[in-house]
Amino acid sequence: MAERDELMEVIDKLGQPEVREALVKAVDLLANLERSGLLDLLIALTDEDVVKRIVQLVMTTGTMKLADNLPELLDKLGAIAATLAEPAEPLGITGLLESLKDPAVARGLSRLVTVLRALGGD
Amino acid sequence: MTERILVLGAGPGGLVSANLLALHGYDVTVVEKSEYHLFQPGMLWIAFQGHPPEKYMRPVKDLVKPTVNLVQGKVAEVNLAERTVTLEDGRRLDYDRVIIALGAHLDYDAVPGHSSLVEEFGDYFRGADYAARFWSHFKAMSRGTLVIAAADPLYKCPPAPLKAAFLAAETLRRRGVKDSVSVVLALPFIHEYPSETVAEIVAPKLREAGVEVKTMFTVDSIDAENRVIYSLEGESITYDLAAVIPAHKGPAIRLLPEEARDDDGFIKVDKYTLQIEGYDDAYAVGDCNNAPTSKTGVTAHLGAEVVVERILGFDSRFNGRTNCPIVTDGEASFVISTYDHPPIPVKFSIFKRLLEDAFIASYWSSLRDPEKWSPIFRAYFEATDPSRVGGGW
Repeated sequence: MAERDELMEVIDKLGQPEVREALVKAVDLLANLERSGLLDLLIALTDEDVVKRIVQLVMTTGTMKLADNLPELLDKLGAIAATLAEPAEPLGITGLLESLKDPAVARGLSRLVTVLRALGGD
Repeated sequence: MTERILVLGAGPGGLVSANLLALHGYDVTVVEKSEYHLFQPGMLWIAFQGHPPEKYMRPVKDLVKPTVNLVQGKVAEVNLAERTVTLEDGRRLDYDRVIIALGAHLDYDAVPGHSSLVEEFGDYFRGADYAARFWSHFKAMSRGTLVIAAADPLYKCPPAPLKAAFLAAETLRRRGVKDSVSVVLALPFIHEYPSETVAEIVAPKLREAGVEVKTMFTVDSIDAENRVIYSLEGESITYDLAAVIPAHKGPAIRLLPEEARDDDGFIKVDKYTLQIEGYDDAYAVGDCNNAPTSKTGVTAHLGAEVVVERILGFDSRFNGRTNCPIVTDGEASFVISTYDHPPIPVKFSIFKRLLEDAFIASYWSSLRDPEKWSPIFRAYFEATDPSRVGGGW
C-alpha cells in the first residue's frame, strides 16, 4: 500500500507542467552528454572510490585557507590585471630604491617577503 | 543470533548510529518519543527570522533506513546491569548493546519565573512551536528592549545566544526599527564567549551589529509580571521581550545504576570511546553524556561514528572535535576545538558561510545516509584540524 502511494506521488508530480518541461530538458541534456562522451566520464567520476580520492585531493588545509581568502585574492589579482593595460617604463636599481619611498610599494615588498617566508617554510 | 542493538533517541547521534549499524547487518531498533525530528539550530531562524517550522522538521520514519526498526515511545528506565529498557507505557525491550542518545533535559524550573516567561513569549530552545511563538512577538516589536540571556554557562550550542543576537539585529535592521529596539546580550561569562580567542573575533562583530553586551550575568530569577531579569551576580535588566536559555541536565529517565551519572545527571563516559563507565555494551553519545566538549549536533554525529566503528571492532577514538557555527549577516565563523586544543582563531568569511549553508542543506541526507557523507566530512575535519591549521583559519 505504501509503495502504491509513493508511485501515485511520482505520477502526480509528472502531471505538473514544470516537471514535464524539466524532464524534457534533462533528457536533451543526457543525449548531449552521451553524444560528447561526457556521460561516460561522469559515470567514472561518480564512482564511490573515485569520489573519495577527489575529496581527499580537493579538501585539504591549503584549499580551505585558499577558499577562505578568495575574495581578497581576487581583489588583488583584479587590481594587478588592471595594471597590465598600462605602459610600463624600464626600471633600474636606483628607480627601484626611489619607488620604495612610496608606502604602497614598501607594503607590497613586505608582503613579498612574507610570501617568500611561506614558500621557504615547511 | 544477530546482535540486537537498541538506540535510544532519534536525534543526530541516534540516527547516525542506527543508520550506520543497519548497513552492517545488526538488528537495530530506535526508540523515539516524537514523530518528528527537529533540526534544532533551525529554531534560531524560526524565532528570529520567521522561517516556517516545517522547513526544519522531518518525520523520523523518513530518516531511518528501511531495515531499522522504529519504536514510538518514551524511555522511562534503562537498567545497564540487566540490559533492559522500559518504556513509559510499560513495554520492555532487551538488548545486547545499547546506545543512549537521549539529549539533554531542559530544566525550566531551575530559575523562578522562567516557565512563565517561556509560556508567554516562547524561546529558541524548547521546540519549534515555542520558536514560532517567539517570532509572533518579535516580529511585532517596534520599540523597547530585547534581552537574550542564559540561566547557566552549560548549554547546547555555545554560540547560540550570539547567533540569536546577530539574527535579531539583522531582522530589526531590515524592518527599519533597529534604532528603537535595543538588543541586550547578557552572558554568564567574563568575555563575549567562554574562549577569549573566540571572544576577540566576535566582539567587533557584535559592536558592528549594534548589540549591547553584558558579561557576568547569570540569570537567577525572572519577574515575569514586572518584566525584570535578576542575575546571580546581583544585577538586573528590564525587558520588553526576552529569551533565556534554560539550565541543561542529563536525560529525564531512570538510569540504573545511579552511579552511571554525574551530579547534573549527565551519563559518565570515557571521553574517547564514549563507553559508559563500567559497561562494555553501553554507550552514550551527544548531549546526554559528560564528555568535556560542546553539546552540539556535530559532536553527536562524530561521536556516533566513533561508537559504530568501535562496535565493528576498530580502535576509533573521539577527539572532542567541535565545529560550532557563528553566523552574521552573510558571513560565518566556526568554533573549532578538540580535547587537546582550545578554540583556534577562525575569522568570519563568506566561504565559511557557504560551508555552513552546505552543512545545513546536507543535514537530512547526512542523517539517513551518513556513509555517503563520511568521506567528505572526514576530509573537512582533517583539513581543519586545529593541529593543522595552527595559527588560525
